[in-house]
Amino acid sequence: MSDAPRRYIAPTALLVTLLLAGGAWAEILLHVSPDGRDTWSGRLAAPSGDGNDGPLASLEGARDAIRRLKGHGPLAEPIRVLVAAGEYRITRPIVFGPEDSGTAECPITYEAAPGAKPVFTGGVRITGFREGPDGVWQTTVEDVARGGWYFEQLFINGRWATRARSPNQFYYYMIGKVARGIDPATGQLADLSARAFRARPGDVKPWPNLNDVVLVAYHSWETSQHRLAAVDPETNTVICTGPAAWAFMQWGFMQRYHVENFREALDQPGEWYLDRDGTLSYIPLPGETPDYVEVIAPVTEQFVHFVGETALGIPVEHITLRGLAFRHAAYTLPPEGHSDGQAAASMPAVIMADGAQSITIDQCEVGYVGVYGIWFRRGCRDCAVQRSYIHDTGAGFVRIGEGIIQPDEADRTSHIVVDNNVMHIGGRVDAGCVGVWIGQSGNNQVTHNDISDLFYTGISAGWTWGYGPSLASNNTIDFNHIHHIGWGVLSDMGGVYTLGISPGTTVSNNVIHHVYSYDQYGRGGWGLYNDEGSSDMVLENNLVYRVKTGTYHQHYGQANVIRNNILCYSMDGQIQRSRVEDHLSFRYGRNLVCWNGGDLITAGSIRDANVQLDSNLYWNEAGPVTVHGMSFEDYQATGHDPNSLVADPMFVDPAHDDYRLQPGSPAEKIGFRPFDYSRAGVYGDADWVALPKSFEYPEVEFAPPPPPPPPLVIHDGFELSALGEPPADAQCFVEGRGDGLTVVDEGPAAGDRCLMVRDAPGLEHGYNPHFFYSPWHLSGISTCSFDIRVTLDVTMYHEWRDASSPYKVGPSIWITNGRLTACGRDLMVIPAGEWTHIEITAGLGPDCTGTWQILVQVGAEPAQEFADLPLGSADFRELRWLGFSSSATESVVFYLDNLRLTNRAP
Amino acid sequence: MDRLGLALAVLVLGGSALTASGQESAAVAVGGDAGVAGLSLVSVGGVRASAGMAAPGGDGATWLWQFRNTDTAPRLLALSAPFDGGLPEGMLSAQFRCSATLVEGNAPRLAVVLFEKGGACWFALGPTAPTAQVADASISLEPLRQAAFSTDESGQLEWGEVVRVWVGAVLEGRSAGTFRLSRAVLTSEPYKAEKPLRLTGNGPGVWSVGKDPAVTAVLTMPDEGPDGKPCMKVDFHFPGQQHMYMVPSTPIVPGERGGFSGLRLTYKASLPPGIPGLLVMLGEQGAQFYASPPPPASEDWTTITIPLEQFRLGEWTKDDNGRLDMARVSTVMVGCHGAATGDGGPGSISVCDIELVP
Repeated sequence: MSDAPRRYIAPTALLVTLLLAGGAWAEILLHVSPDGRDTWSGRLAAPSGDGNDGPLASLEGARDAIRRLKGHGPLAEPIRVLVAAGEYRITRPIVFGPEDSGTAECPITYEAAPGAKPVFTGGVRITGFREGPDGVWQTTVEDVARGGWYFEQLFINGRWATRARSPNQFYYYMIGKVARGIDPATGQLADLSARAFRARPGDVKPWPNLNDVVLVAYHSWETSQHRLAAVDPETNTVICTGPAAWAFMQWGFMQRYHVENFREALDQPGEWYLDRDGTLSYIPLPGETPDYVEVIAPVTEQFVHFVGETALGIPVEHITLRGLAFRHAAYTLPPEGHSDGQAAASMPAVIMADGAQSITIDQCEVGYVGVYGIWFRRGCRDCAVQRSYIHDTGAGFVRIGEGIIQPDEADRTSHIVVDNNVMHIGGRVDAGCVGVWIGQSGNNQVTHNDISDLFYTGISAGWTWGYGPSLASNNTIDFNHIHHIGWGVLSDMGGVYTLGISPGTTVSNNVIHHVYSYDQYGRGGWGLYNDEGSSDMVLENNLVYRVKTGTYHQHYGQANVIRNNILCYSMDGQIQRSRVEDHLSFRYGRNLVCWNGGDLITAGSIRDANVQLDSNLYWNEAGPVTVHGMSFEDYQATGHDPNSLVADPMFVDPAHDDYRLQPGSPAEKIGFRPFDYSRAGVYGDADWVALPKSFEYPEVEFAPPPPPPPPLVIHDGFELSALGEPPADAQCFVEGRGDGLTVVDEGPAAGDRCLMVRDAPGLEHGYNPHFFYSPWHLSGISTCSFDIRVTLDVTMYHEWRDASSPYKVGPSIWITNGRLTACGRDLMVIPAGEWTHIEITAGLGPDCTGTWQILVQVGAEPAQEFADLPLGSADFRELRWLGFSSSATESVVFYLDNLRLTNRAP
Repeated sequence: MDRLGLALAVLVLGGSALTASGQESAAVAVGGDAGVAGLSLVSVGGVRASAGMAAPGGDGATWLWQFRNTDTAPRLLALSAPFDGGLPEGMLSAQFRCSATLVEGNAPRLAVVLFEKGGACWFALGPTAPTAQVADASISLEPLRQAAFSTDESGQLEWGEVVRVWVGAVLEGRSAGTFRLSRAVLTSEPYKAEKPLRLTGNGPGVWSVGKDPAVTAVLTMPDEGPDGKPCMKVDFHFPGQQHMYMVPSTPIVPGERGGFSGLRLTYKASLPPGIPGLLVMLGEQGAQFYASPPPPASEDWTTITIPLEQFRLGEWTKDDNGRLDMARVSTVMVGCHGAATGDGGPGSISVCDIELVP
């Protein structure tokens, strides 16, 4: 924007125009060079002989020179800034505001000079390594020693180097929850369920640099990164400085984690560790020598910010960055750690845009950065990332829009193009990131990208869970090659993943393969995944193969169309529809579905009238096709999936992933129209197309099942649980319709608190409210004791179960209308209003005798013992579920206190 | 242009120019003695516009734009004036004499932009320009919004550091026509709203529902408002005998809110048995102010105006000064709460227009 009176003709612009009059194009050329100075004019490509003029030294210098030019009047020619080869240090973000804008007729381009590949780096080289007698290289980083700097990422010989971690591969496992405890920061009792856990002895120690140790916890579809506040070696309790988005072990027992950045962890080639005294230690990879190694530590956190003001109608616009490389940006874990609900949603990008229009990132490189690469965030329109290489990122690659719907339409982002980019190696800080993320934004185009080597979803579109308002309509997600993601690390992911109502959105002609999830807790690595509320989308002509839990999954949604796809070789089921609703979920037709063993259906149901499958071709290489356990003929006889066939589709070479059809394929009988899936991925010159093909991928290694946890010991008088809250260590289930599980201070058996179990009429499930523990008692003698105070109309039960499906029952008691019964026997009266002590004992595993015993003591009366009671199931051997349930149909309460569970050798 | 002509000119507008508190008002004419004739044009991007001084008329020197905005995004038409010595403290409103004549689209919104020496930038957007004829219009300078590209660290405008002022109008979406500006004055006179201000933008807003887990609710945006206009509609069910709540809410467009006296909304509602009326609330940075008494249910579309002074701070929330501060209000909520009698029952609430009224 210029304030100059319009009746002026800017003399400088005129002069430059005249100078260029002999050229084919009228444009202004400025030069930037490592030999330049920002006090020079930039009109010369090299310094003048007298040293009085020459090129500029930086992008900021060029930007400021253009501001001066514009100060003389509106642009009359395009401006090109040619950046010479060399390395340029970025120490702070370069900000382009409205005053730096070009116009449609006179755009401004910052581009590499012909043949040059200028590199803008936010890092510094670390040198001076010496090899020690133990083979460990060391050098001293003086700024770190002085306390002025500390870095958390390091790039060695063009590789994201591994910060020293334990274990080197796979995980440690949490073995116990810590619901409440003393917060080390305040000294007060606090809810620590999302900050603390009990570790296995020896896994976590009170290392000297505890504040610098980072713990990465693996949830279902996300990780959280934590700093450690305290480690108690006696109880093996670990307390983090800040919470995760979920309570630890919410997703299941034996939650995974690893720890990094302590000296003891430096034990594997390729690992590095930075001590606060400035010593940087590195164990080299084979073949590396101290004299020929490039080690770069990032300093700067952001490279470029395009920022305009959309509400005022003054965007930053018509600027292109072309052929520039941006490398080495830092991410520093905050003191309280970092945990997002999904997709590393709070992580920024090193190139950000807000209030931007017609901004183009073309043929650029963004690499070795601690966060996302590029983000068109708020109020951006008609911008593009094209033919660029984004790699080695701490989060994902490209983000479009925001997670919220801005009330002002001018603040909404739309019409962004992400086309023909290579995106490779992401999630190295937050594994839960996404390759390309579209939030509340529509009319975007994500096409012809090659996206690989992430731990979670490749492309995510939409950010409304359910059927609420969503802006994610008319997104085109076509011709992408998405592959080698998941790596068995996270769950609930897809090659393409969607949320919310999305009319006009297409997911077509993509090739998706090698999508592998972690399924020990959490679940799901699907090729195409329509998650919550995904509706009104068309998914067609996709090739999906070699995925974990299904080539297609709809959690719930409406009226999606899945047609004419090739869907092959999911390891565990092919189709999943998780929720039956009272509207049409999806139409699934003309697909070729091929697999090697197992049922067609992963989970859920396709047996009702609100899902339409028709004219598909199914082929199970390992045997007959079964659907919900039925033969395909029987399934079709119920009226479902008419016109579908079971037949070999006759792929050319499916064992080597050649899914072209041989002549004579029966695919035409179902109306399948062959498509050229080789068109997916990047296009253009041979070197560009060859780049993603040059990457190598190892075979996926799934983590072994976690070791069984130690037997759970409970000693809970509910004294540490918060009043009004459910018991902290149990899995609790209430329907919120007047029922409840609440710690109260109403007449406890001992101490100040007890647990109140309140039932209510009209609950959906008769067994609610209920709560249970997961004891993992596999052998020895287990004893569960508790105090109970009932009223006359209470109906409750306490039961021991194993983990099989259907489960087997061990000891089991009912208290109904004041009578205690077990094994169908009426044992005794339980008086109302008085505390009764109950103790149940049984042997498990090899120590199981087939019987159990119960001891009951009412008040101060002598205890009564009932021995040799038969187990509910004769082959019950393991205690994996210990539960309490109220089964009344009225508003009744009973109280529990002094709950104990032990396990001992016989 | 002679800088002396653009120098700061503080005009005391005579004995009649008293503020509501009885104090003398201060005013600064943007452009000084020369008025708009002394201003320079801000170069416009993204919109086809020609601008220049109109033929002298009754309003004196007048800038005239002829514009056509084919973009759906907003675009600014503005004039610029430097202020070497900053501006006096306490400027509360900007008064324009202007008009917009349209052949397409909506009238532009008046705008003031203030640039500080250190790179900070603040702005205010006002109501739309008068369209019938050239007239006076004003916009509130409370609160000012900081531009996204502002480099301010202090968190508030330093009037003495202002070095440049833009005055003009923002074209919101596709539009074509003429905009005239013949006067712009910054003044310490408080802003007085003259027209209603829609709080949900051009449409019914973007709504979400907060509710008790035992309540079922389905929110839609059908075209069922008066004359078929889109509205927010929520159909819900309360179980009986227990206190329940169901509160749809919408964020409201940021902007000036000073000078208004009431909240006007058009709604219809049927409520579960025993629920006395609607719960209408304004959310102010965590605090919630509810209208008392609650508006009654109505089977037919009805329009009511609730005086802002009838909003009370909810006992369940806290506010630092206990007063409804319209400048900080960011959400509007229209729902209901209470214990339904018997077994409870269904309800339905529809809302289509929410405005602040002078």
